[in-house]
Amino acid sequence: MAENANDPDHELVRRAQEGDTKAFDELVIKYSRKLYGLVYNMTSNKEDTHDLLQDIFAKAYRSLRHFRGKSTFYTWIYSIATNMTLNFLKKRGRRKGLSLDDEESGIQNDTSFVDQGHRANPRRQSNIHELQKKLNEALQALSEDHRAVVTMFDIQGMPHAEISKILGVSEGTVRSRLYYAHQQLQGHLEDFWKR
Amino acid sequence: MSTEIQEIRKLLKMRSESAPADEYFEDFLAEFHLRQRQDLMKRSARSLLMERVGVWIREMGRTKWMYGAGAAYALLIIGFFAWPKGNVPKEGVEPVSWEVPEQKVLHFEHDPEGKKQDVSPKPAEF
Repeated sequence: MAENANDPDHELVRRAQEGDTKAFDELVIKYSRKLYGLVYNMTSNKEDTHDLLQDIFAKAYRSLRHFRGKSTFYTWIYSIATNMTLNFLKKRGRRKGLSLDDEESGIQNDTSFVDQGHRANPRRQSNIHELQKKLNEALQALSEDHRAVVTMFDIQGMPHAEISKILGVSEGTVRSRLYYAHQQLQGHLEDFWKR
Repeated sequence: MSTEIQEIRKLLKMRSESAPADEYFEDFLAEFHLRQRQDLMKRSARSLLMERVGVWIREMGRTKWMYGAGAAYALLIIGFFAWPKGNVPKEGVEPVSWEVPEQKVLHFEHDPEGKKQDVSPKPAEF
């Protein structure tokens, strides 16, 4: 049973643990968008993201009775999502590199990655699109652990303390991974800046 | 922090605003419900089978002890015959004989010329 009364999801979690499926549905609706962002930016593939997200919520549903409320529900499910995504990437990395499917459903072809403020300027829009493509290549070149901290800090705006709790590492490790990742990304995009 | 890294961080931040349309998440929830039902059915089938086996065993009453003893005895018999025995020779391998083969002993007489002559009995004399 959830003990953390400061958890904004305390009531929903309590009801879900007692078997209220609608309560769990509300949790899915609340966090699916955020978790989609985490998984998509890590995997850079829509099909993989969809399948993984289903697996993540299925696992959370099965494991909910073991949730003791020592952290917030959001931190708990975010940890599940991060660990499952990292495991998936490590297995995928052992298989092969980019496939044709990845080329078609990958983030570099996602038209939503467009600077909304520059829609009226097609040239600027095209530059941003190309830059995002390059940035995606640079992100995929990072190790899974470095990509995770960049996704959580830079993309999702998570504080260092929360990232360290989720990944089970010290805040110092989070900061040093971020520093290294930023250096790597900068190096990868150096040719682009020089144009 | 260099301007390039600041620029990179701005680009990364833009990604947080990108997400599929709302319809995607409605369909996602519907698919999740379907999956929950399938998982429940699988778990129900398993737990139903276990429950039925349990009920069958309970309803047998005292005869369950006879069935249990019979099954244990059958397993013992099977195990006895199936267990590999240490003294059984392998096929195609002849057992070693303990008989000492007869050895042909050569008898030599001393010859004044220094030649040794074999005077062992001829085979026909055996």
